[in-house]
Amino acid sequence: MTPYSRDELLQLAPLYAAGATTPEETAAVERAVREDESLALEVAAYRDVATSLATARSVAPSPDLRARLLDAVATEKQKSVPAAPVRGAAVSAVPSGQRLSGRAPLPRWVPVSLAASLVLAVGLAAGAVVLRGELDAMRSSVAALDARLAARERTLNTLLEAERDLKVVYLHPADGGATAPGMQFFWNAKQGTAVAHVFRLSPAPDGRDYQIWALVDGKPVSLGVFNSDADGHALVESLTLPPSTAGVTAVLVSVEPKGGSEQPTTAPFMGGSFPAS
Amino acid sequence: MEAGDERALAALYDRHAARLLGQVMRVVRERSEAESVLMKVFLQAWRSAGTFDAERGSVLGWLSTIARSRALDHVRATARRERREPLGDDGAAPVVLVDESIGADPSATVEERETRTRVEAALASLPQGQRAAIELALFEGLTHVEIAERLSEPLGTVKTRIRSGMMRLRELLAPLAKEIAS
Repeated sequence: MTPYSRDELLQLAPLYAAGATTPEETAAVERAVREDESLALEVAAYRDVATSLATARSVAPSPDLRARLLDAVATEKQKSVPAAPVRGAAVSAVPSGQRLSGRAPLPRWVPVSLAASLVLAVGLAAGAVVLRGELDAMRSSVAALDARLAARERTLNTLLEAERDLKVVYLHPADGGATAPGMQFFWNAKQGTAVAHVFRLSPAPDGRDYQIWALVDGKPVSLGVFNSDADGHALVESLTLPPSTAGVTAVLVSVEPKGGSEQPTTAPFMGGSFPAS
Repeated sequence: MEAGDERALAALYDRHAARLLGQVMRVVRERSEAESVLMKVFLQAWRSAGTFDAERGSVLGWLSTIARSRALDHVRATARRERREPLGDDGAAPVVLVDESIGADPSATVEERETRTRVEAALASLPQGQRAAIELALFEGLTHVEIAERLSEPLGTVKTRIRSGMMRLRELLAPLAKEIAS
């Protein structure tokens, strides 16, 4: 289940195509496009733009590079040619979709005429069908693990690298007891990053989100929107911070319409004072 | 059939190698190193044909993604190596060789030159902040978080600049971008 709404994924599409998304966001977009055709088309349109920007300047390769590439491929093919099958053991007995164990599969490209890349594209896609499901599952799993690891690293980095510039705000309701919801807000003023750990906070009602605000010179400035999980927890890392902590006196949380508001539309239900420098 | 594999690879190379070398040289700069990276790009494409999905994008887009990744890997590995290796006896930093042919490929066709002019004009029409953020992502491999840090700008500002810039470029380049990628 992606932590990003469809609107957020659409907003990420141009950043993803430019290669500017974080590993976590990249994994989320790549998961989502497998199931959302219109999002996939949107991403593909931006990728065409990114491709045209990246490849705008043609530079002719050295004349011998093509031959060197084909030599390298021929050498590699020789190394990976399967040994002759044991007499009587027909290779065709291996079910389609199952790899011959211990050997890397050869690319299943079809021969192409001079005509081209469209034909080639179709050939590539058709030839790869057997392997795609397995590869997708593996890539998805690795991407998810990468994203989790990257998120943990960012969190640790925010907490550990701040040294004396780590500002910690404890948020709680005005009348909160020992079982009341709360938030620990860690602001790394050196890096301009922050992490919020939310606990004992029930998920927001349908059509609503929680929104974090910094009170800067007496005015609320949005830091980000989140929702808690069924257990009442949330770890919020994608926060948009003011350029500095100057003028920040408090951190607050309010309930807002889905996606957040420009200004608080309900009274903040929990908050905490920002520590003086 | 096996000969067919090589013909397919050769066809792919003939069609896209110059564009991809141009892309790699914007990151790697030095021609012999860039050509070595380009070899790796095509070898990776040959080995991992199964990862290409024609429904999700063009062949050039797929190759361009591999090229970006391999070029950035090369630059990062070189940077790591240079951090480990002491400077030469004269204490001078390594010389970065910039290949002037990046600026003008004499073998490029008129059509290729026109395409390049249109793409670069579109990019140049963006406000400086949008252009810088997009180029840092495309050619230096920085995420929006890293770009914000590099430019000392708020994260939200950087995300908006990349998004707005890419949206504008899509408007300006849509038919051409599809044509290039196809």
